[in-house]
Amino acid sequence: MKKFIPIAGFMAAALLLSTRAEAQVSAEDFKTMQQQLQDVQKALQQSNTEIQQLKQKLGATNKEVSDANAKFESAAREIRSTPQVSEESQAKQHLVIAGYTDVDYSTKGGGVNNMNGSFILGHFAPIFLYRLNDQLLCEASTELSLNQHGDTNFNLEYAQIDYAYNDFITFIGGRFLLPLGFVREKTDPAWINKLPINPLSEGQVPLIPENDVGFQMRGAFHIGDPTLSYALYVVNGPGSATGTDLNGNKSETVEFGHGIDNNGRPSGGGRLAVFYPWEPTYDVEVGVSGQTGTYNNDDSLQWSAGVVDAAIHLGSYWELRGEYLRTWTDVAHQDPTNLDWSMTTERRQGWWTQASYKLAGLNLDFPLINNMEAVFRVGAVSQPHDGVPQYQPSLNYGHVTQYVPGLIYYINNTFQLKACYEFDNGNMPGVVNTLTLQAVYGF
Amino acid sequence: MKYFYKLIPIGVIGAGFALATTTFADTGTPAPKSAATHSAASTSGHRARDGATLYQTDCARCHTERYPTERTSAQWKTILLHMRTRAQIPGEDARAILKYLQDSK
Repeated sequence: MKKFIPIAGFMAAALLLSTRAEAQVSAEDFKTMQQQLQDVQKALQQSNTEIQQLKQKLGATNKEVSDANAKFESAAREIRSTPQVSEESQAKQHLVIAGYTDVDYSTKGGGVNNMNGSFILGHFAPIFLYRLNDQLLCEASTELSLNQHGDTNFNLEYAQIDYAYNDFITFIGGRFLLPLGFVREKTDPAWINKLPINPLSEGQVPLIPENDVGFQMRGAFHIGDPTLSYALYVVNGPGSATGTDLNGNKSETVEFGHGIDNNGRPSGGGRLAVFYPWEPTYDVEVGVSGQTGTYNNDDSLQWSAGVVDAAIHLGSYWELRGEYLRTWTDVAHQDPTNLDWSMTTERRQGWWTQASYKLAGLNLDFPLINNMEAVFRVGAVSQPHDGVPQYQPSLNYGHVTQYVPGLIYYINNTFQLKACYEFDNGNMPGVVNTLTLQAVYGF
Repeated sequence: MKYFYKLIPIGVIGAGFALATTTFADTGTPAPKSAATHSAASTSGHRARDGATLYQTDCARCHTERYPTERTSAQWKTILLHMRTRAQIPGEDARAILKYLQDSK
């Protein structure tokens, strides 16, 4: 019982003290304090409300800023994707200069009679494209080169006016590349040709002319997935040359490169081709072309040509091309005893095929290899002995088969280094084994 | 000139063809269309190919790729007028290629 006495005393003392403290705050003061407390609580509540409102406003502001940023980014993207409209792009008339230049080294020295190796300024060949409006284009391709005597050769490859009549027809007038096969028109420029030399039948021993003056209608349209392209033309046609044939008789035969019609009768020709891309980088093109007309002054001798061409792409790395050419030339011969003229028809023919493979297809992790393309071309030309004027070296006689392995190194898409070695097997004068190196830039 | 009458059939065929194609041509001028791709109802009914695919198919079949940044838009317009003639590209396809080149700059 004694041990509860201190606890009871402590509780009594605490009761007394609390009674005393309560007694010290008056009811009025208590109310005042209570009112003050309520005021503080009210102010605190109001502050909380204001804070919430501010938070909401901040959220709305952030959303506005975010929306504005999104709009800005969208506008910037649109501006970036919109082609820049400049004064140049709006001009109706416009001039562009394209073309290529090449420098060569040949062990044949650039001439039939010069068998010493030599550097050769192959070509500087600017192409002038002057657009008059959306349908009219004036274009000309010139070739400047040095011959073996150091003289400058100037060759006007073509100078023509193109009128794009509609999506399927373009009319051409002037001197144009003849659409006989595809070499002259499409793969002749040195930066496009995969070897430093042209195929035999359109290079060293040309069976067909490069260009002529006249009018042409050409174009293309889809027939389902394939594209059918066509070209129809009338031109002055080749001219004639007289000389002494290999039998010692006076003769008259065809000669290319005349600028005017010597008999008032145009030659006609054309090309028809089908191009079928069955998927990107896989396509095939097959074409048939020909030309016929008389070439001598009295309109009695005829020259005709027929060409079949084909090109195939098998993926990004493989390409196969080829042509078969055949010409028929009426040649007049004069009998030296009675001076009577007789006529024979010479049949010249040539063919070539070319395979090329981009070595990047080997998937070797080696940049030098990836920039290379291997090329191999084989071809032949046959020309009869009869009736060929001796002074005309472009019309060699005989037969030759040519094998040409080559290599391209692409420094970039337009700057190339090329090398090839031609193995010539035959009896055609001036066509001999030759190493050719070439640096070419397409601009 | 005395033989020129023999060329009349060629002229007649050419004029007839020109007249026939005019009815199929969507426009006489090669003005750019609003889209780089062919519409499904292409004028000749062929499979639709976009400008990038046509560029790869029609240009790369002869030469190495030329980058869109190599030329200005106006220069590409002139070059495409040249190339549609040289490479015999239908006008509709040439416009799609031009738009691709101009948009890719």
